[in-house]
Amino acid sequence: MLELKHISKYFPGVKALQDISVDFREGEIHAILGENGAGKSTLMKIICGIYQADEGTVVLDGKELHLKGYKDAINSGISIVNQEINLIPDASIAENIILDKMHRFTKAGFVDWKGVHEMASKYLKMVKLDLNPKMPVRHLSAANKQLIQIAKALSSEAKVLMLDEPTSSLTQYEAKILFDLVADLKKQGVIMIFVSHKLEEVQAISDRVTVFRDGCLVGTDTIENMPRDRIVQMMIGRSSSYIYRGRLDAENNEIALEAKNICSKKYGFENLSFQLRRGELLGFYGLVGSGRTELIRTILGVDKMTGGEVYVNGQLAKTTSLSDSLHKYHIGYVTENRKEEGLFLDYSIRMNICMNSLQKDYISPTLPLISSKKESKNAEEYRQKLEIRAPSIDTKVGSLSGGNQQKVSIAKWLSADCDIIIIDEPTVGVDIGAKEYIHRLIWNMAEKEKKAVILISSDMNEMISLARRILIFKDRKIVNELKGEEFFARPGEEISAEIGKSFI
Amino acid sequence: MSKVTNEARQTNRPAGKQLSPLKRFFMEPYSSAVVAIVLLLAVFSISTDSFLSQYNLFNLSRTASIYAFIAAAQLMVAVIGGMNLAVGAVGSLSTVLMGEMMQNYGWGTVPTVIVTILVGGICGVINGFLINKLKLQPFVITLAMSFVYNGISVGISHGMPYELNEGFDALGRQQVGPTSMLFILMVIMVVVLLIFFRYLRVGRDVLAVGGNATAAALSGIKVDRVNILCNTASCMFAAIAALLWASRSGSATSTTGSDWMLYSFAICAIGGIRLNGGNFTAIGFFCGAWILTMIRNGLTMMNVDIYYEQAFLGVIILLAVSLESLRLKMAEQMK
Repeated sequence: MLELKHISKYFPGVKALQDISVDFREGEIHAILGENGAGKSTLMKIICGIYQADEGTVVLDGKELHLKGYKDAINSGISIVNQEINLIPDASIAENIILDKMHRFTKAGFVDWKGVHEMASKYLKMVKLDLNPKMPVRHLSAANKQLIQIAKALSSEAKVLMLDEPTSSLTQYEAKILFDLVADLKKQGVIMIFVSHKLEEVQAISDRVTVFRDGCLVGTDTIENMPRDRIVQMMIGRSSSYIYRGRLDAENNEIALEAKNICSKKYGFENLSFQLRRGELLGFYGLVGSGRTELIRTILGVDKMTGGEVYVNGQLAKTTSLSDSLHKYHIGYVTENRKEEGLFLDYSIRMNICMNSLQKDYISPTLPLISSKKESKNAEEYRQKLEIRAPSIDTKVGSLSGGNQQKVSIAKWLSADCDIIIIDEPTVGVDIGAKEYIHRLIWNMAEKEKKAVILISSDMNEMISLARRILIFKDRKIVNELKGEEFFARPGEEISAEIGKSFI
Repeated sequence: MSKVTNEARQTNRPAGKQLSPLKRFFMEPYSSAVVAIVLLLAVFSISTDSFLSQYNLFNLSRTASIYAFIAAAQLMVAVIGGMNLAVGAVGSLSTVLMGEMMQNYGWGTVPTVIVTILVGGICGVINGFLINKLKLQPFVITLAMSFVYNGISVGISHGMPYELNEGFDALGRQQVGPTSMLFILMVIMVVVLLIFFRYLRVGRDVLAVGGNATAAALSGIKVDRVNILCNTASCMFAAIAALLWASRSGSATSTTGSDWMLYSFAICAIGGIRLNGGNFTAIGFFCGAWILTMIRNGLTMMNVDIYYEQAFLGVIILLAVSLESLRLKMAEQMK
């Protein structure tokens, strides 16, 4: 049995995990669920030794573990299979399987290939793959590669096997092969921890479910006691600390952005439509993968639109690239992964903020040279306006805290004078103080500056305290629309209950 | 409201966090190149009599300037995290085409120069286009293209040298005050690059792509276009270097450029320009070209056996980049 006892983990300004106690039993598939930033991946990393808990202990079979890294975890019988495939494409199956224990098959520097292939065959059998261990991995299907990753994890005599979204790159049929194997391993008494965003999968294979939200454990129960709507209610939660910010009254403003019958082959949605008015704060609410971010990426031309039309200020807009969306139609997009997709971590705050608004900093309209003075003034203005905590505007963005990085990310688009701003998960990994500040900022964009704002979020509190109209996304469809100023003046508990109903 | 921002301003600037000027200098990526240049100057001027002579400095400035153009060819792609292995091959091709135009077609100097630079640009467009379309590493593409360009160059010339127009070598040999025309061209080039990266929007787009290509694309920057632009500029710099080289040496052969690729990387590395993209330092770049030239020249002056020159060169480059690694460690500790 693997037990977690009162685990807490703090990052600067953020409580990533708070007093988590849960046990994982032999021969059990234990699913862990939660939205972005709920604390799932932090927990995984603590179990496999990549992070160390600030408080609490991890106990395996009655023995307290003090793991200093992933290598220690493997030696204690804990393995993780990541969602991305980490195999060496040109090495053989056998080589990939024994890669991390090559030393056991080496004598005087020479590899005992016979032993390697025997061992590989044994674990290939275990994952029910009838393949030649000498075959290179490159040409195998994604499912087979994933199974080989599991064989690799098992071959270190894993007692605990963590599967982190193992089906994200698999087709339904391939996923089924994987699940058959998982059921088999269950019989052999392996402790399995399964992280997934796909509720159907969780319901199909797991024995118990634990739900996380905001770094806290919301509940653990057997799957029989966890119908889908209860899981969703637990994941999205009820709004407890909801602050009513007032009315926006944008129903009669002119339409800034309209999407008509948008289709995407890549993401598999059809005929999605919505309207966005000036001074409006429209919320896109749904679980990860429900189509909310995908719809925006399609409209803005990041991914291909296979059908439908986009209108900006009533005019048909050809948004075939983000460059057009920004420069021709003044649409700004604050992406959800600020580190990978939003910021230039090696560059200064100044360069990041001014990246999209350089024409503002020209010496004069006729002389398109960037004036350092104007640039500094612009960056300094936003640093103060958004209260970005940094020694100066020349500080590298990479050295800032999550909250301040997010402020820089938003400042970049504010500085670009966009009329329409789309903000995706603005407060994931942001401390509470900065969160409240960012919320006020988003509200002011709509209320004071009369910008048209779309907020994409899986944080219920954030959603209902900001949005004054909410589109609910489920399985790449818009399933409900909640609107009316009076509706949002109701207590948070009632609003969130109403939203929760849309998921049943 | 103003009270709030005032408070924020105070908390934002912790007292005593200002670094001393010396420390700030060491935080800059070019500082190790500056230190290296001072050290080399000291060593060579003490150990030889003629290193600091007027004539030698004139010569040094001419060579260093051409190397700066060769390195600029690498810099333009290194800054977006790419590389150009065809720097020398484009140099060779440009030299041969220039010779053809002048010797066999009787073209004047001005049209020859323009067409040569354009041809360089076309080579770059091809490189950039292939990198975009085939989605392969610049290493593979430019390696393959370097054979193509080199082959064409040798094929056209059959390895024979060309005669250049009369007066073409004036540019390379002209003295301007205490220094050379080439040196002035180099200064102009460095200033142009500085303006490009600091004051032009397109320069910022280039830096953005080098810093984080995904974020750049999601900021509305056309990454493919930037890639073509950088590759074009890269090969154009190689063509310009070829023109200057021919003008300096007074002859044009297809062997020009055979050692350029390695030197172009060496200068960038010495100058503190990260080869995986995202930074540009004009001072470091300027010093890098000088350091390389000084080492080669100084070794000759010290009567080092010419056959061993490369080994010494390698060791000294290693020392220069070790300085950089030492600096990085120190900068890390200062934080």
